Amino acid sequence: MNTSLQFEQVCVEARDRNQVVTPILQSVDLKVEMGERLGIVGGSGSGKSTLLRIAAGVLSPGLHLTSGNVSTAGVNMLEVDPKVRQEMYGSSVALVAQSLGEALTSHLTIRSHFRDTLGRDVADETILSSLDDAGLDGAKYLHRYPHQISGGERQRVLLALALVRSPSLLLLDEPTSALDVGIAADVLATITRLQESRGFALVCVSHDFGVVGRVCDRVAVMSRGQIVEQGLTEHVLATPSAPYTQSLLASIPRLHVRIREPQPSVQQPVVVVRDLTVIRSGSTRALDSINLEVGKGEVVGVIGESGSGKSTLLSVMCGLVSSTSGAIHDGNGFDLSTPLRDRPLAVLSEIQMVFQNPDDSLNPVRTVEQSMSRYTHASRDEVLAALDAVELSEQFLLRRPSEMSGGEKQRVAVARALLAQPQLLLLDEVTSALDVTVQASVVKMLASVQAATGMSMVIVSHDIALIASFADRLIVLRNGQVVEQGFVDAVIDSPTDLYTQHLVKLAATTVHK
Amino acid sequence: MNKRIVYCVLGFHAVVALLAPLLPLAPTDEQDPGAMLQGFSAAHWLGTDALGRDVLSRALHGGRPSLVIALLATALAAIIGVALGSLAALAGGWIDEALARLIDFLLAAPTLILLLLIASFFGHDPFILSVTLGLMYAAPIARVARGSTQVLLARDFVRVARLQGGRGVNLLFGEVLPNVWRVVLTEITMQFTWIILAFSSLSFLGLGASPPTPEWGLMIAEARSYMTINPLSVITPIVMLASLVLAVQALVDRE
Repeated sequence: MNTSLQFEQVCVEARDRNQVVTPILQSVDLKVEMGERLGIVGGSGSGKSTLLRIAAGVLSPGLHLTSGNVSTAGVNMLEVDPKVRQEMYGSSVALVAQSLGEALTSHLTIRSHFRDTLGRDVADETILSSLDDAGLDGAKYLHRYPHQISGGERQRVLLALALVRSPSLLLLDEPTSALDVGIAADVLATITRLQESRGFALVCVSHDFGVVGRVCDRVAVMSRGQIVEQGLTEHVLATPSAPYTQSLLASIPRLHVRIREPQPSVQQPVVVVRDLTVIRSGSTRALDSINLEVGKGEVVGVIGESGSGKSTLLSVMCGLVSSTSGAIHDGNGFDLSTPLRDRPLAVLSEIQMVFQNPDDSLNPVRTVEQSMSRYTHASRDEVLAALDAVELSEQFLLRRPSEMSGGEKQRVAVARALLAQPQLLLLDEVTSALDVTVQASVVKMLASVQAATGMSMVIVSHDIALIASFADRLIVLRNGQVVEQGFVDAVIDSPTDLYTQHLVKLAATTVHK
Repeated sequence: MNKRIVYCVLGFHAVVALLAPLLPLAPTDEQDPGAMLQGFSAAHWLGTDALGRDVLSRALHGGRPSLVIALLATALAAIIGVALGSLAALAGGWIDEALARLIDFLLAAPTLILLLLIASFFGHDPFILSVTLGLMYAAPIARVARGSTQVLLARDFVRVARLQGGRGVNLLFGEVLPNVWRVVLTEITMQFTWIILAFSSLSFLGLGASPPTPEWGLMIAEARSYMTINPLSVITPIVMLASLVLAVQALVDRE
């Protein structure tokens, strides 16, 4: 067999303007034979994307290859003549980059994209068969623009474009991180089918063992620029040897492993939602006749794909978005459709929310202490107590957001919400931007906060396993409607709705068999 | 432009504007009938104008009226613009809509013609000129302040602040302005240069500074008929004006 991709003792470091050196890749050894499927798994900053880009002959500005050899299809693409490298793209190596939104040119149709790749006089039949191969009805998509197709379709177009000149090596960077669970599974199945029928070598980078487990025969686990473990996927998943792999696998939420034991339901509600409907931009029903009660001390999980209305539901509950019709009030009967500025402070503090994006949830110019005490008027001792509850030390008081990691920022966001002493805490995908190990620690922290304060929580996520490990009750949203609800175990064990069944099935087969 | 050059030019203008009366220069209004429209000489380094006044001395003094008026007008424009723009964004709804149309109206109005109208009504009063300039140049600042405030208000940390009781001006000073001042300051600095140019244009047209005040726009207007006899009398104020405006703009480009 001939080798498609080989890394020999590759070291890469980053040098900033002050010549401070940070190692990015440390003595990386890697070998991918023709027709092989290798997955590379690691947390953010582990160097996995850098590795992939180097394989495609791209070294980002500021990075330096200090030692070692890279050979892609027998050529060192970093040193080869730019013309040769240009010719190699698509014909011997193809890279599908991570961000779906930017990978296609917005003013060009799908057909124009293919013509750019293959030349102007390419026959439509070639394009059609290539799209068909990627699982798209080609005739329907030929004349569409990138904004007229969904994320999953975009990923398929990118695959078709990458494979149209039959490269011997396909490099995928997080092929499904922007997609909903169900769509991601379909795209991964297509990738597997294409690889099996065409026999190219595949390197797939992901933060998610689930993705790699579905597609790859072999897996390399990366941490801090080093490959800490390499082996057959099944073998690594079943008996991981490196401590990092073990912690990574242990951090993945599983359907029947609880982080927090379900509580017996308490009748006294903290918020009651009746026939809530939100109509956006004319006639789109973001939420359609939602009925929901959250009891004191209860944790309700909301699950749904993007656009299902789960974030809108939270925004309406805390008052950031107003409802079109229906009623919403708190445990004392206060009407929560009252605009925020007309609510008494006591009512305002009842419901607090933590948002998805850690980079956006804290004011960049303020220190942690300033952010936390500005509106709550908390004393330093109270701030320290809240930080302690989210397992952060005193050192964080004077830090600014730029000096903290994503997980730390989310902890501060939770601590700030705690200072308002809410009865209900709304959590909108608070861990989806975090690495899986960090996610596990944040969820554990949330469980201990819930146990200590007895506050109610509504947690929104796309990850049914995460919700199932944490919540008491589960609500499944689809197109703004509740399609299934009930106690977590009941829903997981015997889902009635088709979509829920699909989600549960996918989650059950992700990593842990 | 090289950063060092920018700072040198700005430093030169600042020193000259502040210290011109203290420098050993010929008086700006001293006429020398025996030496009209002369080229450079030991007595008059950059020659003399049509009335025999020292070009160097007048050019070095010539920035003072523009700078005083421009600083006053810019301060006023900044206060009005930031207040108008950020409050419009904060208020939202029909108030925002109304204020946005007002800003559009001011932006669409032909600045120089309005200035000419007002100057011909109220004469050369520098205070009235500053106020007028300040009002007219508040519009672009308001537009930038409104836009960046709108972006900020949609961010999660501002939503959290609202959930914790932050509202109105408190929200504006607490969350929004600390994050938008860089962008807004850049716009304010740009407008400062436009105001200098506008005032010099007015002087050139005879409605800004009045003779015999040394002012660049006025100097260009007075000397342009004799441009072929002593080019320095036109070139000098042009170079002074252009170097100041370019240096300030290059400074904000760096930000």
